[in-house]
Amino acid sequence: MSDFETRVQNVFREVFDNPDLNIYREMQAKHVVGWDSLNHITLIMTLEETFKVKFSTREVMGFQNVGEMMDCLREKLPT
Amino acid sequence: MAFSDLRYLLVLGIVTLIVHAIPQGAPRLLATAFISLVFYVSLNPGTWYVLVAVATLAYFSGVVLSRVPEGRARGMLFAALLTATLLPLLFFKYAATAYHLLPPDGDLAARWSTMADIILPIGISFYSFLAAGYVVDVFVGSLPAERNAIRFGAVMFFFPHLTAGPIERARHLLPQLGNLGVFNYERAATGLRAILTGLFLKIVVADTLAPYVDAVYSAPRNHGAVDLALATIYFSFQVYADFAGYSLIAIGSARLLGIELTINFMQPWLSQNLPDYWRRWHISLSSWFRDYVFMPLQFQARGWGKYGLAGALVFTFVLVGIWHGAGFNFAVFGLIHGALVAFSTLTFARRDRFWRSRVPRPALLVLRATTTFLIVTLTFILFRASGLREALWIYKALFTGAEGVRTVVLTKPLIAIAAVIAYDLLVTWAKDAKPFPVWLRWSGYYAAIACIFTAMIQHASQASSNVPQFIYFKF
Repeated sequence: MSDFETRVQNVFREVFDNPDLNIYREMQAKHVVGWDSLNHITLIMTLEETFKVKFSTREVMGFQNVGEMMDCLREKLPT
Repeated sequence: MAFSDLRYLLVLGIVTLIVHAIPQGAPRLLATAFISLVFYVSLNPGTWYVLVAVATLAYFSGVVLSRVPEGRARGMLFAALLTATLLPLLFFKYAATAYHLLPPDGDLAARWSTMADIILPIGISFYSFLAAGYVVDVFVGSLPAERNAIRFGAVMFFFPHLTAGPIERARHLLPQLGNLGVFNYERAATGLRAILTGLFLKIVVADTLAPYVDAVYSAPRNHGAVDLALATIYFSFQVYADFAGYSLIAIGSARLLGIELTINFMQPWLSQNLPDYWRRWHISLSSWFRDYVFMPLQFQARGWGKYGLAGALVFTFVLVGIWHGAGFNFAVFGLIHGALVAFSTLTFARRDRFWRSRVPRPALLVLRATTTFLIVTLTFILFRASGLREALWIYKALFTGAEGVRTVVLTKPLIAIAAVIAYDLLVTWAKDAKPFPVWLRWSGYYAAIACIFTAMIQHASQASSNVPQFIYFKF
């Protein structure tokens, strides 16, 4: 797992209050206990704060799984 | 022909055979779309073209949006196409109300008098939401546009979900089209079970409760607090059994054809709090509003913290309210639910700690389910009364214990209600239990069939009984 993915995973662990949570690209809300619409926004906001980025509404509505979320996030980071 | 009409079962059987017999691929998809359209036209001969127009518009919206490059123009085009997709719904749903807001003697009222007679095309909300959801999904990129018009038509016109939902998503149905007409024993068996359960809920429970509710709500001022309370409680179970029953028949019909529709109800009267209730009641509607209204709104308002969350919830629920109808009673229904869901969400952790430390778990489960049921039932008065004024009168009568004649009986309705509660508890309990032995299952099926026929004979012998329509057909 890359440094970037570890940082994303740490955000997931913090938001869903589960230190053993392991993320993978195909993971969706239904695979994670407590990932409801409210926690979803908390997750997005925590990612925004951690990585100092901003998502658009359209981007957020388009995420189908963790992989797509990470791809979108990675594109926003300075190379 | 309503789903609870036994002739429907005959038609469903024939359609299932035809769909299975026709070669897989385009011919089968085309046949399904065509049969579905014939079914819809027979139900709604006056305005069936609205369905075809909305479906055609959604199809071309998808194709166009997938070709236009990213940028401001695409966003504006999306807004225009989405508005156009929802315009027929807005027009048919609210034109008559808008007409009544015009000054009655003015020129405008005379010129537009036909507006008052506009009849809502059956299922317009349900197929418009499917179409709108598809346009949004293509725009945000969560679903590629469907270029095959036959596949798109098979999804849009698919008759089991057409008349009153479940509100489907194209991204849920399109990938399943390969299963259409492919026989699968397990799926067909669960489909038949769903239809049987749905018929039981509709005919044995909902239609048994309906006359008692109608008797009181047709003239609430003739009744006292006890009758009003009983009729209101009966209505909560009636509307649940009616709509959950309808949904199960829809789901079962689709399964016979190889397609899995969205589960619409998950034992809502066992909900532990109001947000829980909305995750279990008319799930396809609440999840549609969650994904396409609430989440984008809350995301936009995320900088405002709790106030943003509460505002997004209240706004969403007001929309859910006025989706049911243009009256103020529906807006107030939405407003109350929005405010209560926001309150419940924001204070849940604290309240949960408080109650858990003081009340044993089994008692808490019952207490919470009862409280949630009573709160929702009280708000259903807004839903069932003829308007806000009448609803307010009923609240006053209930809380002041108004005197009046007692006409509402207890025995039969309570048996029907006990049957629903037993069903809900059984479903909840059976989730983790081993499958029942064959003899027990079949005894249950025969008992259900016997109850359905007995109830049908009883309803037919009642003078007031005409074929009872499903409550949600009018939405």
